[in-house]
Amino acid sequence: MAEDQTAQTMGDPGRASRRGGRQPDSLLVIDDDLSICTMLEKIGEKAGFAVKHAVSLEEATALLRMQQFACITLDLGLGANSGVEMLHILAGMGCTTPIIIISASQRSMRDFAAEIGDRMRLDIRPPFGKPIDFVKLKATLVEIKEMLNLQRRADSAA
Amino acid sequence: MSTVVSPAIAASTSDFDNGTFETLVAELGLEDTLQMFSVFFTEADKRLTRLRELSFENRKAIQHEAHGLKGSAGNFGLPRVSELAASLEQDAPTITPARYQAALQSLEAGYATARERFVSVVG
Repeated sequence: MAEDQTAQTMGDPGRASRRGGRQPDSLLVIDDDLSICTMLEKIGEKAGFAVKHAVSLEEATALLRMQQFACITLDLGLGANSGVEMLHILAGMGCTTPIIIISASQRSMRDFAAEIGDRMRLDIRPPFGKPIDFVKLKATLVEIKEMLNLQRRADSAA
Repeated sequence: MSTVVSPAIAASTSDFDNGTFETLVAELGLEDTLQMFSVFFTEADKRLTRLRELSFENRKAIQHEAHGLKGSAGNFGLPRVSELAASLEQDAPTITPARYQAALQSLEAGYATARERFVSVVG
């Protein structure tokens, strides 16, 4: 039931505004390293997002069941779990939210995970390695936010 | 073997990269950057403590901790620590007790030096 509700709300940025009182777009940071979470939180906030973080697959799944997110960043190593497992969960929820894979794994691993996400019809954006290119990541997040604003304007016009 | 630091690593990387710090300050401001570094050092301390407590036979756990430290140290401008952690991550599947101890010593020494450099740069 909870998953069904999430599937109905995820990836629909106009829904919050249609329900009244526009909520700030939310970014979910999924990374098992708290220092990286803090860094991504700050970058996300500068890009105009309200940010929440999860350090495990379980925490992320719980947050995704509670609220909608406009964007997700995903680490590939999540303690005992992998980011690919998270991709399976997101696909099961019918997620259409843009997902940015950010990992210290080799580029081939990041590309492989992105390909798996693509095959699941998830909205996978070009992955980032670590060290993270902060400037490029912030620009990517700003771009996603602008896309969401455009989508909202188009929704209102319709 | 007294150390696992290869001459290539020692020569090619610095302890603390001011450029990363300056980029973060420019993008996020000094206060947020200092807060992030505080979290980073706390988390890195915890990872090093966990690594010290692990036996060389806990290969998966060593790989996991080393992988995490590789990523975070790289992001916070500690390239030498990041490379030493990457080396440990790579060696973990076949590492011997002596090599593990040497790797830990190198990692701890590199981390201590980087932290001193950070303090001297930031004040």
